[in-house]
Amino acid sequence: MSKQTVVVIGAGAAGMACACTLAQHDICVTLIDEQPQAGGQIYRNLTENQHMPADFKDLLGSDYFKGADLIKDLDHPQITHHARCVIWQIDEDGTVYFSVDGKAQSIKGDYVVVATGALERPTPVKGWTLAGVMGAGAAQVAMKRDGIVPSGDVVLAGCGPLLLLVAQQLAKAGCQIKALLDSTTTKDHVNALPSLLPALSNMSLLKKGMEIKVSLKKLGIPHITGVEKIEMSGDTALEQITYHKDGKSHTLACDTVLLHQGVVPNIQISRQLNLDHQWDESLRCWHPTTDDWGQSSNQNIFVAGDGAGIIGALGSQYSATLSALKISVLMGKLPESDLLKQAAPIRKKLKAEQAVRPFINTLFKPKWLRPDDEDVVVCRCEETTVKDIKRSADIGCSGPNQLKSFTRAGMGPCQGRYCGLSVVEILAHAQKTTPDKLGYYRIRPPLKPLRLSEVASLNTLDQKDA
Amino acid sequence: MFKLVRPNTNQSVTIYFNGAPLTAFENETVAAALLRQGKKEFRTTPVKQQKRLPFCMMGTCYDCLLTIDDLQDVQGCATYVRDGMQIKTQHINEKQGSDHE
Repeated sequence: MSKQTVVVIGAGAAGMACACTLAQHDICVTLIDEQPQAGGQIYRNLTENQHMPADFKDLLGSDYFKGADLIKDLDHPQITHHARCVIWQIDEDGTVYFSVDGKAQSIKGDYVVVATGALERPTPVKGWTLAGVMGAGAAQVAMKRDGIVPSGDVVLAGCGPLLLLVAQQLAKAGCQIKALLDSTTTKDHVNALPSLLPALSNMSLLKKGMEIKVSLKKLGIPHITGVEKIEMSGDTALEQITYHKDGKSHTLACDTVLLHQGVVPNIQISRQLNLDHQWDESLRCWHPTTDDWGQSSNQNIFVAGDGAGIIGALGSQYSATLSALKISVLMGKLPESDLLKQAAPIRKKLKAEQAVRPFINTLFKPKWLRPDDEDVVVCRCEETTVKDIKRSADIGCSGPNQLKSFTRAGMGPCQGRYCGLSVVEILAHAQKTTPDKLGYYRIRPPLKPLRLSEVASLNTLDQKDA
Repeated sequence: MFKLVRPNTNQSVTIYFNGAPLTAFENETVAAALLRQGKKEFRTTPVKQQKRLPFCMMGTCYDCLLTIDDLQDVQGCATYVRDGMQIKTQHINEKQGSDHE
């Protein structure tokens, strides 16, 4: 029982890299993940997809299959991989509570590495709750996981590298893409220019971006930029999308709309742990405050990868490796004098990933964050509208937590994951303040809905252990 | 509506959606199996009774909730099909309590 253990949460790019590096330093790792197979969302279902026909593998691209080495390295005697787990609470002392098949367990780590990645940013536009509207990243996950793509007329809307990549992948897969409605403006391109120079240190990523743009043209996808506003409508499900540009509006009939305005750190666990967070003005989201090694304001908790600030799949692996090296020192498995030497080449690679972020963040400046239409649903779970939020602000609602009692926004099963940022944008604007000053929802356990039978099963296990 | 873009060579299993048999593939998520079969509704919302389909496909948005083998509020995107699985659309009204079809 006294064996020293690090609990790594999430088996995506960051979690896998962290677990492997810890194991290489002879540290016992418990890797806890929701999926049946390691890979996270970026390398989702990679192991199975390696055996698929070549044309499908081409669709997924060579970057995707680069995750194979990490997955293979997880097969290490020091790594215990718990799959299909739902984590519902983490204590400040590093005790992690999770359920598998409705049975609860807990494990205490000497250190905990939170590597829970990113979510697609909520996109509260009119009609975004209609059946037939989903995230562009969601469509990509469906393709990786189950090999399915939308079969009718598809419109993609929003901005960001992932939106362009998904448009390209779906077009190559034979989907009928009616339009790519891009919220990126000429002004965004101009604003991004000054940050292009530092980004040149990562030519391979910039080249990839250019290749996708050229490919979209070749594939004949109508790519409409400078789209100011969109709205979806339909009787009981999605029927059409209307977009506004240069004072004119256009309507397209479609079966599927895929929304995307970039990704934001998944901060549910770091918030539940009451770690310090900071507001990122350009990305308009929070991330936990960490030092150069990913150590948070709780010295037993590290946050690695996109969950600590969006850095991409490769950047996530590098940042998580650095966290693992630091933990190895703290656990006496790596001499402190060796730390900087071992970290140097990884930090160099991480810097190259970081250098390109200001350019990407400025070029793909998130839009459509604060809807004007008062009947737009903001909280998908509790169906709280812009009007409900504004009315609460008018009668003196002081912030997102009081808004919960006024409107129930953020109190549904998703626990604010898909409304938190929007609620804060709307409230801050109504009260002429900033999200930074207003703060975020207080996240409490359970992190995910939990049945009472699961809580009860935890006691039974503890008694058996005792 | 969704379609397969690669062969699925996994063994086929029979699942039941609101009592009607459907063919699914072993190791397929319930969400994918239903989307592939053109299902237009997983549940209606408790407040405004609006039809919903999966939104995030990664277990975080809870729009894909279904009643599976008599258990309410099961995430379709995070559950894998099993031969004989009974899946039902979910119509929980906050005022009237639950009412299954």
